[in-house]
Amino acid sequence: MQQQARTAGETAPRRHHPSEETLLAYAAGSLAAGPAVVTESHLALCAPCRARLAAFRAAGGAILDALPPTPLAGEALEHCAALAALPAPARPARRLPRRQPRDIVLPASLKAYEFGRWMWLGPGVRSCRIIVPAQPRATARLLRIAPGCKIPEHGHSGAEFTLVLHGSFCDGHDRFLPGDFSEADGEVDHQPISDPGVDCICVTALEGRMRFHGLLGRLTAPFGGL
Amino acid sequence: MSDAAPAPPPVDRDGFNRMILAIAAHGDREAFAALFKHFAPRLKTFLMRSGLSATAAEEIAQETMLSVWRKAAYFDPAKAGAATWIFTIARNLKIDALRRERPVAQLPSDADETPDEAPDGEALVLTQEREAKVRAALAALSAEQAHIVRLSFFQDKPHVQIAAELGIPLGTAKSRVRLALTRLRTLLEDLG
Ligand SMILES: [Zn+2]
Repeated sequence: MQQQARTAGETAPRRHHPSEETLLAYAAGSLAAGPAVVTESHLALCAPCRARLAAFRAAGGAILDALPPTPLAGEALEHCAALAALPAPARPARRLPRRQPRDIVLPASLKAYEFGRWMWLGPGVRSCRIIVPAQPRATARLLRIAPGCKIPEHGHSGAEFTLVLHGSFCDGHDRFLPGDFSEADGEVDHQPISDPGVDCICVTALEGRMRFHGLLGRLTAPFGGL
Repeated sequence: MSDAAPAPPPVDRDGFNRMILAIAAHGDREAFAALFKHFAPRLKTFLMRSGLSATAAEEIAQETMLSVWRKAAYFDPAKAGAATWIFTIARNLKIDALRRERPVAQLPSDADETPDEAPDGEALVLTQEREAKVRAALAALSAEQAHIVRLSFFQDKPHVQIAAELGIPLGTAKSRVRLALTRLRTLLEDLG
């Protein structure tokens, strides 16, 4: 990391945050696993979004509280009380992830995950998969983009969620600094470019699958999953 | 609007908090039975509306209540009230259950637990105020917007159902969802 590196920390206010839809889906547990990883990384850095999440969770609690009841089987309470009388099973020991990238400093929010290998994606662009437990199809990845490089031109079938961890990029409209969260609609073809100076490192995930255009798309297709 | 909220029963919300604390303090079985009677059937409704079968919904409702018993010591009314805490447990168990239906890579997960602020002296009051505000905000929404907010908690693509129900294009439905959630957020901020 170079000296002028801007690293995500709790200090500066973020300018780009997850949408209401995304935070609510996260609160409700319906956000896909990959986008949830990206959202968690933003929440770890953004107190205002943690407050919005707490409000949405409280809304979830209030909605639950006001729902009409659906009866359970007659003996459900007795069954549950009998289980409650037994000692709780020991929690499985948490295994430490075996493989993590050594060449970058991971934020605490990502330290529980195991990672794939860095793969070359195009000039100045490398990517490595974030392996989400029990979610083999999760699309979360780290992207490392050399200064002034284009992320290969792409559109995607669903929304794309990106959080800047280090460095910065510009998507043609806005600049994204460490801690900033970008949510690109599936209908837009966009071409983010990293700013000069330092590598830009992001955590990114898709709702659908990404389609690269042109030769690069065909070249990267065999690697799959991006 | 299939799910106009029924007249709320006279519920002592502080009572639910005290019940969970009583379970933590001395394994209070009567408190557990009372919590179970209120929340388990509502959890079942919630989970069925989230797309789970009646059987799966009943299992997760029971699993949630079992977690309430086992994790009662971690309940902190300064962070979240009973309904919010129970909702969050059910949310995590629902995610785990959906994961179990897929091929499983053997790795335990704590990834759903997001960082919490450290509680302080005023936090308890602030939490009760927040939950009262949230109920007031939900009540201040129009019937259609309240419906959209509820649907957003049950479904990952609420706009698809809204479009079908109202016979409007997907794009229009999407903006209505966005409007409803933004209005909820604004109401929450205004009340604060
Ligand atoms: Zn934020």
